[in-house]
Amino acid sequence: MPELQEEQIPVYQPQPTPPKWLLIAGGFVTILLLFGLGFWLGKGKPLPPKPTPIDPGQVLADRFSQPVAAPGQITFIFFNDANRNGVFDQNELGYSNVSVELRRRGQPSAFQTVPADTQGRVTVSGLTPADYEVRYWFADFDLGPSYGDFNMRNWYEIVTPTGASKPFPSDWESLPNETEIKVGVAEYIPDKLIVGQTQSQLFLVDPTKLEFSYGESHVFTDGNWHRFTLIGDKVYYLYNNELRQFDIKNRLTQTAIKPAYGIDDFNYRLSPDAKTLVYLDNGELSYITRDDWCGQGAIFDSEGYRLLGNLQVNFRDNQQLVAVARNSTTNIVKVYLIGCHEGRLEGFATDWALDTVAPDPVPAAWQQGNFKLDILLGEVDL
Amino acid sequence: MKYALAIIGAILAIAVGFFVGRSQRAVMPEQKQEQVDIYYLRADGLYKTSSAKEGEERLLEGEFRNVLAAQDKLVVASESAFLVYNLLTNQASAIEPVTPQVNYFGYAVSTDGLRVAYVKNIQLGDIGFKNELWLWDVGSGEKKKLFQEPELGADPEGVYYTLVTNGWLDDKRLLVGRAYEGASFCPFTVGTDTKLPQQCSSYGFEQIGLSDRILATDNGVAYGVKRIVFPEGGLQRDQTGLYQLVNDQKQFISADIASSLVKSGDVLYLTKLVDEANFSPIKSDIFSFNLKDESTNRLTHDATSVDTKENLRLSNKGRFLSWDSNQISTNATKVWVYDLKLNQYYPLSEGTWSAVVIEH
Repeated sequence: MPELQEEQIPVYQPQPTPPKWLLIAGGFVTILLLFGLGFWLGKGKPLPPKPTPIDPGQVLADRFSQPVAAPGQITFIFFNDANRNGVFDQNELGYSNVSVELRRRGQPSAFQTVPADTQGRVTVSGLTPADYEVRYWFADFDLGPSYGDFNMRNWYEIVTPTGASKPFPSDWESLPNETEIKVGVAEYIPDKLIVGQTQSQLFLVDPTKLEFSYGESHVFTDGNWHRFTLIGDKVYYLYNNELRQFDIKNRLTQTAIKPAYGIDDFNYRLSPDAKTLVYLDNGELSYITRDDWCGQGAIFDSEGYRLLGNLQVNFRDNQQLVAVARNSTTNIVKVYLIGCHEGRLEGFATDWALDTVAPDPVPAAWQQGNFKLDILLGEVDL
Repeated sequence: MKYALAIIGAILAIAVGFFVGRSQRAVMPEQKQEQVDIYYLRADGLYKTSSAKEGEERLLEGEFRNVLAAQDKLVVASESAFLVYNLLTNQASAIEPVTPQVNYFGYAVSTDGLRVAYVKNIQLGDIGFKNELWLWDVGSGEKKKLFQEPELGADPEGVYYTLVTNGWLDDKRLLVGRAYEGASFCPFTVGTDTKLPQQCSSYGFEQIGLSDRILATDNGVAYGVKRIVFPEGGLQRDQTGLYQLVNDQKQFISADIASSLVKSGDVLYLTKLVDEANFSPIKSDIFSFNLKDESTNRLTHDATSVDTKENLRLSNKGRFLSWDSNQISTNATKVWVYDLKLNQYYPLSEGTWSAVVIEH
């Protein structure tokens, strides 16, 4: 191997190194890029939103609630339930004058009111699925027709399939999940009526319905006091020179005694059978009997003198009464026992104490709800 | 060596970037899924249904009368045994095992849920028996006899009565009474009192024709209903209706007649008798009565004359009411639930009663 000459030997000369700052900057940039790469990988795609928690109450309600009623069409059929059995029997007819109200549960009032047609049918359609409630209205709550001198209401109630009843308007109740709903309607007859009068009118009040009177008279308009007398389930009053009778149960006005008088239509008394009317005529005790069973005219004493008094009279029975009266001749005040004698009422003086004849009781007033009756006459069971 | 260091540095840079990036991901707040469990009885045991799971599950087999919530446990009552079901461990244990000579009733959970009072009626021979009032501590599991009444039945002419309870007035006072033809109650202070006074009628009193019963309590204030059942008995003038009893002072707050009642804040919820002429709680609906403004709201509209609404209860957080309906002719019972938030109510299935609704 030939030896190389010294001048021919290549001399190693290192490459010039970049400046230190450049190396540091390069490294920093590299690290930054690598960090960015890691950051990008780490951040990844945004997380999908977490589902909103389900209301557990809604879950249970959906599971256990009846399917909401929203059939394409619901028909309500109201019928006159004559036998009050809650069933639309073959001989019964549809009933109008009622309406159906619908609301969504939780709402304060109805969003739809549909009256029944002449056949008693109400058709509701296009309900969206929701939880509905229904109630039934009777359309006419006016005072109702006139029965002689009285107006009486015709109130109606709903008869349920069990035969129980509920009043109009019904309470809001869940809409049955049926497409045809039959509702029985029957006339509402109160169990009893409170009977009383104001100065010139008589009122019949159902104690369970104090919003309106069940019936009232429209006979007197003069503003004076007029006496109504309740005997059994009939009311008597003097009007137009006759004693009239109103049969509360049968809503019938008729004449009881004609002609009949009471000087001021207030100061008179009736026997329990309403056949004898006693009144004052210029201070004289006078009377009229129905069917003329004992005539009419002034009451005399057994001596043939007229009896005068202040109409302090008690009927002992249908044919006898006691009265505090004064003999028109002797002016002696005594208790007279009065009965029919020889075709006319005649008084026999007794030695009974004057307080044997009880004075008229102080009229009791009655007030409930919107009603204030000056004189409470009593109650009538219907 | 240099290259190794560079590679390690690069990996480190990427890793740090990755974790920093990860930490910057949108963090959704954790929302706890709420759950409602309903525990109830059927003829063959204790059941549960839950908003978290379809269907029902039988937890305990047996014939039980009543279920009450006591903290994280259910008191499962029958006449012959006193069982407790632990909701955390799903395990049942017998506090009083079945004993032929002993009947258990009058279970009453204290208002703080920490104690359960109950009555032991112990048979003695053929006709005699004795009444004992006991207390079970829910936390420690200890039992303690509070007092016992004299033995009954030894005197053939004697009166047979049973001890009865009617809830707790507050955390210390339990309403205890004696029941013969009717029940009358007075407060018994646990830890202080050792016997029941002879005249015990300050917190509820019943006699022929009259029912006066506490239906709910709240921190020492009792809410009850007084009712004349037979007004012919010369009691027409007595005031009746819903009242509150504060420091032995009775104040009537409405004329409502109710068979059961619960209180939630200022509001009373009651199974009000719509037709007060009835002697039993038929024809009733759920009403609310606000004690502050005295406003009333009717929650249900399905009162009938053939079934009852009773045993009204409130869930632990106050969102749900539950009650039992009973059809008189068939004696078929059904639990109903009213969701006060949704203003919606619904029945559970047929043959259920005595529900406890627990909101988690």
